[in-house]
Amino acid sequence: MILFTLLIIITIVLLTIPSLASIPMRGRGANYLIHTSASIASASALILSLLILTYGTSLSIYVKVPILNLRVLTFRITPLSAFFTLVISLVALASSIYGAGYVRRFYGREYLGHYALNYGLFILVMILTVSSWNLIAFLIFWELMTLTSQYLVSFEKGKASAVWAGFKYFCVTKLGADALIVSVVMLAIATKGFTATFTDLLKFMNALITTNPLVGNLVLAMFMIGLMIKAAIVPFHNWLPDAHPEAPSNVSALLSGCMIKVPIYFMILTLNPLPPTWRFVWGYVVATLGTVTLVVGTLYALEQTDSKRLLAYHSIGQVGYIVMALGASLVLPYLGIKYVALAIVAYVASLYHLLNHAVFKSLLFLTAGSVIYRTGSRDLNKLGGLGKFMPVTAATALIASLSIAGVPPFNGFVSKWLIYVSTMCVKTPLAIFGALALFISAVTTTSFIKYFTTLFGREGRVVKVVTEEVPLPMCFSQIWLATLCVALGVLPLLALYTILPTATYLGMNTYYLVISPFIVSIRGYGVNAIALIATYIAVTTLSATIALASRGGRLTAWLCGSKLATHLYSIPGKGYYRIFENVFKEVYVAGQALKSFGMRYSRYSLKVFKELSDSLETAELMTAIVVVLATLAILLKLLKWW
Amino acid sequence: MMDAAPLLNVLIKYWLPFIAINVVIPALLAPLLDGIERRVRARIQCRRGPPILQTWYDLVKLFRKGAVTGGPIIFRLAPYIAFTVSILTLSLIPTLLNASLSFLGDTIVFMYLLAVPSVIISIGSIYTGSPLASVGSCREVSLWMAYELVFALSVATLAIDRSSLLLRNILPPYPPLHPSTILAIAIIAFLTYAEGGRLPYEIPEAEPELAGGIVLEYGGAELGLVKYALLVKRITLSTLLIDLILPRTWLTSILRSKMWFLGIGQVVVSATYISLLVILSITYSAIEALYGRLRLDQALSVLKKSVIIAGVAVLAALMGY
Amino acid sequence: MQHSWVTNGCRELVDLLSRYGSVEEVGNAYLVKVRAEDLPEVANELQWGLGGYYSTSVGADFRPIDGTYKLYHIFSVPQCSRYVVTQASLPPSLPKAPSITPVIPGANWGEREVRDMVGIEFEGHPEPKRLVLPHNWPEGIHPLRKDFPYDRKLIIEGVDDEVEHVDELARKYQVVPIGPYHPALHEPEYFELYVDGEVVVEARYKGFMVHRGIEKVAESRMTLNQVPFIAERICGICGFTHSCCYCQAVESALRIEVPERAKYVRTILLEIERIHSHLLWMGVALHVLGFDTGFMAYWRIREPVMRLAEELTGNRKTYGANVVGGVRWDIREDHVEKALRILRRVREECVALTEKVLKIKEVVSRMKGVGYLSREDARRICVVGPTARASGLDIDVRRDHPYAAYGELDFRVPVRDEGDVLARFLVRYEEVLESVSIVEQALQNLPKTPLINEDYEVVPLRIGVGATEAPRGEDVHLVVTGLGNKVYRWRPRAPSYNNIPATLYMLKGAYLADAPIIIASIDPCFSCTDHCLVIDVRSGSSRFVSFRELVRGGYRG
Repeated sequence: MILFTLLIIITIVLLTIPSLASIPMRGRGANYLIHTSASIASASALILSLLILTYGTSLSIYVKVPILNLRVLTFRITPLSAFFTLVISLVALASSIYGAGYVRRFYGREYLGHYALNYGLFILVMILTVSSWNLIAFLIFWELMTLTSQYLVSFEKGKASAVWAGFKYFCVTKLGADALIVSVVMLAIATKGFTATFTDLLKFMNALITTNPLVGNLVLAMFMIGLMIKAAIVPFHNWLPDAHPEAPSNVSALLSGCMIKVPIYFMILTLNPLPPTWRFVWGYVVATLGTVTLVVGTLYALEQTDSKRLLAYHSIGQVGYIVMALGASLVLPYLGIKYVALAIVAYVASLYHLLNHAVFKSLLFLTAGSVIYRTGSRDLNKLGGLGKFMPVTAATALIASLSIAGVPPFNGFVSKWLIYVSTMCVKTPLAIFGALALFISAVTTTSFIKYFTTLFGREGRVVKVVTEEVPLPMCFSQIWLATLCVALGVLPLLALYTILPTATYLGMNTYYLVISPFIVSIRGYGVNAIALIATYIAVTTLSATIALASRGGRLTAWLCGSKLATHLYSIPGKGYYRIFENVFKEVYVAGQALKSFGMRYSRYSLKVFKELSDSLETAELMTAIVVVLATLAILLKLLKWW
Repeated sequence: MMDAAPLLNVLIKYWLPFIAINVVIPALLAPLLDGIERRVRARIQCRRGPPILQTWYDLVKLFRKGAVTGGPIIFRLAPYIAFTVSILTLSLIPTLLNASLSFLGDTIVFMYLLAVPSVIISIGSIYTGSPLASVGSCREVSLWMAYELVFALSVATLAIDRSSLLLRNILPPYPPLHPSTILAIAIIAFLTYAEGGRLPYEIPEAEPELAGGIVLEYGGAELGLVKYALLVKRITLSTLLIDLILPRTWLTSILRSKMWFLGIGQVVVSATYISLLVILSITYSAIEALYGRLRLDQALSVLKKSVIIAGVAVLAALMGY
Repeated sequence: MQHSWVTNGCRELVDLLSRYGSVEEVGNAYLVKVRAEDLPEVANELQWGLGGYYSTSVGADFRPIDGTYKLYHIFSVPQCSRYVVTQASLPPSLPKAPSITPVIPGANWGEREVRDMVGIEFEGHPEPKRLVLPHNWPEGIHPLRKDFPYDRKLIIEGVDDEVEHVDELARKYQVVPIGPYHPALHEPEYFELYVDGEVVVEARYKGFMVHRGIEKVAESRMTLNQVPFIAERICGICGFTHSCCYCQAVESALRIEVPERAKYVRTILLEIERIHSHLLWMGVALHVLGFDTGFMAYWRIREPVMRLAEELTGNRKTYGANVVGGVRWDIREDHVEKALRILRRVREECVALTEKVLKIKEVVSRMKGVGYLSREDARRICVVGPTARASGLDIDVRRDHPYAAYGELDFRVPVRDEGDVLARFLVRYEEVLESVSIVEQALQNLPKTPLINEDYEVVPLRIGVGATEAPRGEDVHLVVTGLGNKVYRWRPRAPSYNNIPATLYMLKGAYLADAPIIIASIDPCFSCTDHCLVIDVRSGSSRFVSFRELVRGGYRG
């Protein structure tokens, strides 16, 4: 008990005080202060979540107003929220250590004190959002999450694109996500009072759905759409490809790895307790939207030539995987007695992929950040040849690329395998979703072949840089995440250990999943020999290499006596899959239609806000004022003075 | 749905004979099949053709040479990884013996491992920066994406039909035989032809266009390994098709019950398998001799049309046909 | 098919030319001495006004003779069956002439080679870059000048500087090299393609990497009658055409009457060469498209033709049959019977095979609409041969400037106007059939005359133009006889010289996968264009490289 309190206090204190303290600092001070404290805080959050998951208990924390003995803010750290806290803290740990080296490029250019403030608070607020149980707390921290992340996206005030991206993100979320969510929550509060918690919210929605299906589904749809906008599900996704690339790379890792997962937590929480018919329907809706997302997101990623934009589109795609598996897990129990076991598999697949995505996507963003740190460029048409200068970054990027592609023995393969196993042999449209997921896995592989080889292979086309490896903190984070990729792939036990308690918490039947160190076994179905395969490949490759070691020299290209500008022979990023994109343009046409639908909506929200406020700071200020006023109003209502 | 655990125990006990017969022998056969194909193609072109062992002679000659380009590490490692993975893939599918490394979802693993050789060689080739090699690699992975879509839909058809992703369960016998299964097998027949890099789909390695494209930068022993890996991939694909048509387990059990010698069933099945391999090689070679090479966009258009057919197959399976 | 104006010349042409200078009739050509300043105007009149066709440009160092440089431009005027050679004399102190390339874009290469080899500057040339000589060849040293001995070895320091690139293009697009070693090409040349994905945006060409210096050798140490044999080795499969062309040029210069039988023998051997060259090309085109079965089939049909050539001349190619004034080998009676039988079989099999090939959708779809060259572009670049005839230009030296026995034989010239690779394929196919018919006519009408006319006198400094229709197009040789049974200036212009620049037009907008077939569709003969000496830099020794070795892609080095 004392341990828990200690860890909680460390986390909260180390994320708030240094953030506030570094406001006056411009450069180095802010950097080291915030990143050290954030690292320690993330570590403690990590340990806390692991402990919760081991014991499988829930921790409830109340923040009381002393005089009135009223529980104003309630937090509950359940195994599910502990899992999400685990994900957040894993990425935050890597991101913070990485940031210590990365933000050095902002010395003298930007005011790091503000970065530090928002960075610390962002991590804290994310953890608090998933832990919040009281709806008021939820609202406050949800808003704060948007606020801090939006500031971080537009951190580089000098770049017009960054400022615009942040503004667009802000508008889209404010008018969309927040509006919808706030309205639903307000409804719940109106019914139950200010101390309403999530249980009350869920009971409210279930009641509404059973009594008045139309209105109930509408309310649920509003809530879901709000969550989906934040999670960047197609067609609500078009803020993400602008916002994530513009943030500093370690923050992009946090955004892609953690922030878009937070809505999924609430999705799981909301959709699981639904009555069976509606659970089935919503499961299908969610699975369909997930499939559309993964197809559209990844196919759009194929044509990108900006390294971080490519990664952002892949985030959209991979979240599609997570959501599709989630939908499958909701649907499967009702499809027949032989598929009940697959339901837990799909659920595990969903959360496993969530964890995996957090790990490899943040690693990818960190490698992209390393390239930016050394070359200042994100353009895949111009970069190249960095592999021999930045071997650590290249190696970790290769591991991350293979992981996201789903190649054994890395972690992506395990979660994707679980997804296929749970969907593809079922006699429902879920099988088509599974097949499409397999296809998109191939598309992901090719896209990352492009990413990896344009950054680290061939020769740089225009950006001719002779450089060196990134500083130690950045290397360390990359290696840390890469090790996790390999570990989670070879030892699925590690992940299952964290996921299964959440399933038990949600009341699922985990009988069918058997845990052993190297394999994921589904009772009655067989065995998955990942590590076996990995060992085989390693051993035979090594022996073959030794046995057939070939000698030979290095030749350069030659043209009858003339020197060749060999850097021009390197293929630019846009030339890779041009023909594939042309032949399969129907998908892009469809995606364009969806995108324009989403764009119209975001343009509308931009227009609304443009009229209200002309500058970004004013918008921030306005939100801050609104939040403060709202809190004040709530307090006053509580104190019955109003 | 049988429990695979006892089978795995058996496998571990007899792993050496299993690998020797099921993996090593087909791997040794692969260049022979290529030799047969070259011979058949030559006869169709009114030439005498090289001896059937010619591919073996070529491989041995390559293995004895040193590589000319010492390239980046990934480039040099790729042939070894490709080769070992392609050998590994052979162990996942029944070849001579009816046994294979079988576990839940091994179909998926099989598809992934089948893809690894070409993907890893593509990565290595683009990494060198050679323009012809990178164009060849981009063609290879673009084609592969299209193949995967069709393949995934066909496998889904079979899996839906049998409600299992265990390769053992997807293979014949098929009581009852649905039209969707036949359609899926037909599509897979087309895929095994095309993915083996046969004209008109020999696009990544197009010699007159790209001077060898994806394998251009390799020389010596590494080139030998790359070629060998692609040959083993070919035999794996042919084996997949044969396994989808040949009802092994039924045949073995029938023969075992009818004849007193216990092993005769397996021997007959193995012999049938090898003869079907030869027949398939001859057929493929005859078909290949009739075609020129397609351009990448033309090949992708053909595959786009196959996607529609595969989609029809999946829908048919979903509806129970 | 006899044109009524074949031996009549053309009054209008002579009148036009007389306006610019004195006109002299030299065999089948008009030599008009013009002033250098009038050259663009004359070129304009001949090409666009009169509807003639520019052939090539030649520069010659006449300083030992009359102290000037001479610049020749050769035009073909088919309606008058005459060639027009404009000769401009340039003072050695200022060897400059206005460029005719702005008027006729096809003169680009000809003038650049003159500049490299003889040192005449062309004012107004849009692309005054080196063509034949490497970039780091020292300035002011021009190999075809008479003060540059043929066996002089230049020590060139350092390596050639970077190949020029079109910078804006290079920054945006990827550069894909086709060559100098490429399985699609049988000789070394370098096509630099700027591609976007797989679509070619722009193409550049750098060739002449195996330039052999044949002209210099012939001018320096060969006698008049030794040159036909080195001419034959300019190319492997159009060697006989080159030697015929040279002999015709000398015969035209020295007014030698070639006996009838020799003319018929030349015709027969020329057409046999055309048959096997076209069949080879059709096979190679199918090979480049990946259709190896068709490749093998066409070469199987071609094999009897090679054996026939061996029967008739003793060699499968490089017949060695020509001398100035006639031929060395005769065609016996038993040869005639055999040849007719073989050719009949070739015709049947070729027709059967081509009809089958044209039914294969995949093969035809790779040729149809690919590599389009419009009629206007073809005219401007001055392409020749099947490439021109496939784009709608009705030109053929055999009909327009009848030589050998063509004036007495009946044949059709196939012309198409689609301008794509398929059109070129079909034009060559039809030409094969026509060639078979020509050989049959010639074999059945062989006149009984002697084979060689050795009764001639070598008059120095006489100019002559020889022109033949090689399998690849119009082959033009300019010969100026020299002192003492030698050649003073010899310029063999192979047809591919005019056709290769067309590929750069055809490659724009094409798919990368189609680049080899587009390059192959003009039936390029780069060894004709380059003419190759190999110098082993390590040992310092040098030797000639035969076509066969180039085809094999290497030498035992």
